[in-house]
This record gives sequence, structure tokens and C-alpha cells, in this order.
Amino acid sequence: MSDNHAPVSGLRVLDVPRLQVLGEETGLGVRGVAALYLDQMDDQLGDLRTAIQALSAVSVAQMAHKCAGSSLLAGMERLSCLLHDLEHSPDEQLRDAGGCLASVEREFAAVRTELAALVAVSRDGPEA
Amino acid sequence: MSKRILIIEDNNVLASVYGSSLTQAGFHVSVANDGQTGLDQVTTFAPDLVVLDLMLPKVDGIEVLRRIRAIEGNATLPVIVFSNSYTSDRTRDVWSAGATQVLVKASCPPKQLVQVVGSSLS
Repeated sequence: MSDNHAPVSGLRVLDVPRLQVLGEETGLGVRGVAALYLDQMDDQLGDLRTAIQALSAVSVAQMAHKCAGSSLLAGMERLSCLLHDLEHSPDEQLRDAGGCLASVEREFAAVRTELAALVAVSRDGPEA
Repeated sequence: MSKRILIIEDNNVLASVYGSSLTQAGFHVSVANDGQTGLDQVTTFAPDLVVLDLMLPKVDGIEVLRRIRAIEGNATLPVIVFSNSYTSDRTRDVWSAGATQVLVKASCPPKQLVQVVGSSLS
């Protein structure tokens, strides 16, 4: 885990072309993939928060792994990087995981904002 | 009749994305969210191919693979192992447990999975 929990520079909040391809390949559209991702990540981040509060290193690693997998697939570059760092942080840094979680939640808020803007101009998906 | 694909994956985002892609491609897809449910569905759903995650609740992916291979008639059932986590030991275990193919989830877009599934069944 990095000291300041800052995302790696050069990474994007959202890889829009990747998300668009994902929308096409699944038939869900950008709108559908975004809704699926946000809905599931709300649950998964809740589980991650609980694991951190319980100081359960195994659960933190498992939940961070799950969140990172979802985020990487959907093209959330900075968020997946933060989650990957959290997943692989040493056990003795677990007490510092709350700081990392705060960074993750800020980044997730940025993702949510960018997704909302993207969906607003997107014409694909079942609800378009 | 469309081929039956069983996805054993506990991450709902990944299961939905890959499941939707396979459905779009004409496959009949079922999803199991843990290892034990996956093993049950190997019997009840009778898949033509299994896409298997490694990190699973209840029964871990390698153990699921071993048990699939132990079921009579499933020695040649295609099982594509799909995970983000790899060490050389883990990869060796996956192959020795009877994987047909191993894919790294992070670098496998849905389209590639559809292609691999299609070629594994042809």
C-alpha cells in the first residue's frame, strides 16, 4: 500500500473505449454495464468496508480482489489500481487500510460521476 | 440445440458480463456463485463446457476441477479456468487438476472468451 494512497499518475478514472466495447460485446450497452457495475460495486465495497472494520486480512484481500476484478474489467483504471494495492498490502498495514478505503471511496465517487456523464450522452442500452 | 455453458464465478459483475456475451453468441448459460453450487450444477445442468474461477467460496476452484474430473463421464468435459491470480505453483496445480485451458481474466475481453469457448466446443 502506498503511503498517500494516491492513484498512479497517467491512469484514467474511466477507460471509455473499453467500456463501450464491453457494452457492445455483452449486448448490455454502456448504460447496462454501468448500472450493473455500480450496483454490484456498492455491495462489494460495503463488504470490503466490513472486512476492514473487522481487521480481517483474509477477507480484506478477498473483497479487494473481487472489487479490483470488476473494476479492471469495466475499465476503471485508477480504482482497480488502488484496490490491487489494497489486496496485496502486507497484513501489518491492515490498520492503515482505513486510509486506503477512503481513497477507494473517493475514487469510486469519481467513477460514479464520470459514468453518470457518459450514460447521459449514451444512446445505447435497453433504457435508451 | 444451443450448447450449454456453466460459469462458476462469485463475482456478479464478471459473471453477468461474460454470461451476457456468451448468451449473445447463442449459448445457453447458467451461473453458479460458489464452488458447491457449481458442482451441483455440473450434474443438474449437464453443461457442454465449464468456465471456472479459481477463488471461490465454499469449495475452491482447483478442488471443484478435481471433483468434476472424478465424476464418471466428465474426463473430457472442457473446463476453462479463469482467474486473476497466478503464481507458477498455482498454474501447475490448475493444469494437473485437469484444466482444458487457462485464461487470465484481467487480459481476456468477453469476445476472446466467446472465441475460446467456441473453438473448445468445435
